[in-house]
Amino acid sequence: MSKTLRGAVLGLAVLLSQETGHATDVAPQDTPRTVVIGTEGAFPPWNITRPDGTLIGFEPDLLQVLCQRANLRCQLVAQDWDGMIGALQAHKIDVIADALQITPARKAVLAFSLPYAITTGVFVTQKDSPLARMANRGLVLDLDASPTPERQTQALSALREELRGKTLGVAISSTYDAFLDKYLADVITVKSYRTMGERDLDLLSGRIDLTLDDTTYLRPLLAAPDAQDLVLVGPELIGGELGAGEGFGLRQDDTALAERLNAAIRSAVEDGTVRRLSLKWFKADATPTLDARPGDAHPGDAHPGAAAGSPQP
Amino acid sequence: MGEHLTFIGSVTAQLVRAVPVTLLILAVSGVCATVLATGLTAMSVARSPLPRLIQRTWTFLFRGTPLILQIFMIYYGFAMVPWIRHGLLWAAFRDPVFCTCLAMTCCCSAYIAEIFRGALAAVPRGEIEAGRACGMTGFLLLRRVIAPSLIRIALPSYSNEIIMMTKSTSLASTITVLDITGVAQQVIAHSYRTLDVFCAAAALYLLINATLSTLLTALERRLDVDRAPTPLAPIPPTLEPLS
Repeated sequence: MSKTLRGAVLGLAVLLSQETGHATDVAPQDTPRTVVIGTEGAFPPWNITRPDGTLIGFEPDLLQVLCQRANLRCQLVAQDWDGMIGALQAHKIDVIADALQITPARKAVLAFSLPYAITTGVFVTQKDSPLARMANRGLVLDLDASPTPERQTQALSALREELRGKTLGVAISSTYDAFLDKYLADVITVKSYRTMGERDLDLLSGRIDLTLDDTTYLRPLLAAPDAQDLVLVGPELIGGELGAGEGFGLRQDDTALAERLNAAIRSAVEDGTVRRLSLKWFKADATPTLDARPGDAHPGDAHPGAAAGSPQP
Repeated sequence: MGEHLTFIGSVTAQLVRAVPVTLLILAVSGVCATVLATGLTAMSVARSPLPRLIQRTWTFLFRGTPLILQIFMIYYGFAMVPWIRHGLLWAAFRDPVFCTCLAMTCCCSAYIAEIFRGALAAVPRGEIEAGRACGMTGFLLLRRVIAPSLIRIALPSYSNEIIMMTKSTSLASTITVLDITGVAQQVIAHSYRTLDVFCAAAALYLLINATLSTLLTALERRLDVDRAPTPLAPIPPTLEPLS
C-alpha cells in the first residue's frame, strides 16, 4: 500500500471516528482545562470572521479537533494581531492561533507548540510595476539549506538588486521582519501596517511597490476580483529567519499546555486530520514534517510543506 | 535591573528621534487649523446666509465624526478615487504625513472655530460700542477692540485644543507614519516589551504637552492686562488718524 493511500485510509478512518465522537488515539489527559485562544479572525483562510461574528477557517476547524483530543475547553476570541503577544503575556489569552510562524526571534519571547502547518512566503506586486518581471518566479528558496547552494545565493543577490530602492509593505511584527533585516533592509524601505487589509489597500493604490506574505493568504487574495491588478512574483521563501512552520504561541512557563497541545498536534498530523483540513482550506497540503519518533509512519512525510503553494490536481 | 535601564535608555533614544515628526504634524495642522478657523469664525457672523451655512455644515461634519475615520477616509478612501490616484494630487495624497495634516486641519478647525465663535459672542458689547463711539469701524475695530478681547477669552480653551491635538497626532501611526507612537509600536513589535515602551512614549508626550501648556499659560498671563506683571506697550496718548 502506498504511503499516500495509507494516509488517505487513515485520514478517512479518523474522520469517521471523530464524527462519531471516538477519538481514541490520545487519551484525555488529567482534568479538563479552560483555555482562551486568541486569533485574528482576519487572516483567511486560516481564520475568518463571519458576518454573524463566528470564527471559521483552518485554525478554528483544527482547534475543534485538537481541543477535544487534549481535553481542553477552548474559547476562541478575535483580536488584532498587533496586541496579541502582549495579551498572551498579560494572561488575557492562553494561546495564539494566528498562522504564527515559529521563528528564532519569536522563540526568545514565546514558547511554541509543534508546527501544525508549514507554508512559504511569497512576493506580490502590481501587474504594471517593473517588478512584475522579477526573476526566479516560483523558485523555492529554503534558507535553512546549508551550505547554501550556489543557485540560492544567486537568487538572493538577484532579489537584492531587483528590489533596490523599492518600498515593501508588511504587517507589523510579521514573520518576515528578521528576514528583511538580514537580507534586504539596507536596500529597501519597509513600511509596517497594523493589519493585512490596510497593507493590501496600499498595495492596490501603489503607495507600496510590493508585499511579502504567506502564500495561503496571498493566493486567494489574488483570485479576488478587486485584486486583478496584482501578480505573484519572485521566489518563494521558507526556513531560516522565516521559521519552521506555523505553531501555537504559548507563554514560556505554560509547559503543561504545550505538552497537551503537542500530543494532540502529533496525532492530528499522523492521522491525516491536518492534511484533510489544509486541503479543505488551502487547496494544498500544508502538513508539516514532525521529528519522527522511532517506528512512526506518518502521511505528512510524503508531502513536504514547501509544496503548499502548488495547487493540488 | 541594569539591562532594564539600558533597554529603556535605548528605547527613549529611538523615540526621541521621532519627536520632530510629531512636532511637524502638530505645527502644520495647528497653524492651518487656526487660520481656517479664523475664516470659519468670520463666516459664522457673515450677513449673507451662505457662508453661515457652510460654517455650520463644516462644524457638523468634522466635529461629528471621529478623527481616525477622517484620516482613514482621506488616506485609504481618496486612494481609491481614480482622478486623485492618477492625477497631480497623488503626489500629496500618497504621503501619509500630508493626509494626517489635512485630516487634522479639517477636524481641529471645526473645534477651534467654535471656540473662536463662542469667544466672539463673549466680547463685551460695551467695548465694541465704545470703539464705535471713538469712530472705529471695520478692520480697525477688529484689531484694536474685538481681537484682543477675543484672544484673551479664547486662549484657555484654545490651549486645551492644542493639547488635544498633540495627542491626536498619534493617530498618524495608524497610517504608517513613524511618529512617537509609530516608532513605539515598531519597537514593541521587535522586542515585545509593551509597558516600558509605552511608558517612555507617554513620558515624551507629557514633556511636549508640559512645554506647550507652560508657554500658553505664560501667554495667557501676558495678555491678561489686569494682572500683567509688566505692562503692555504703552497706549498712545492720541488715537491714530481714522481710516
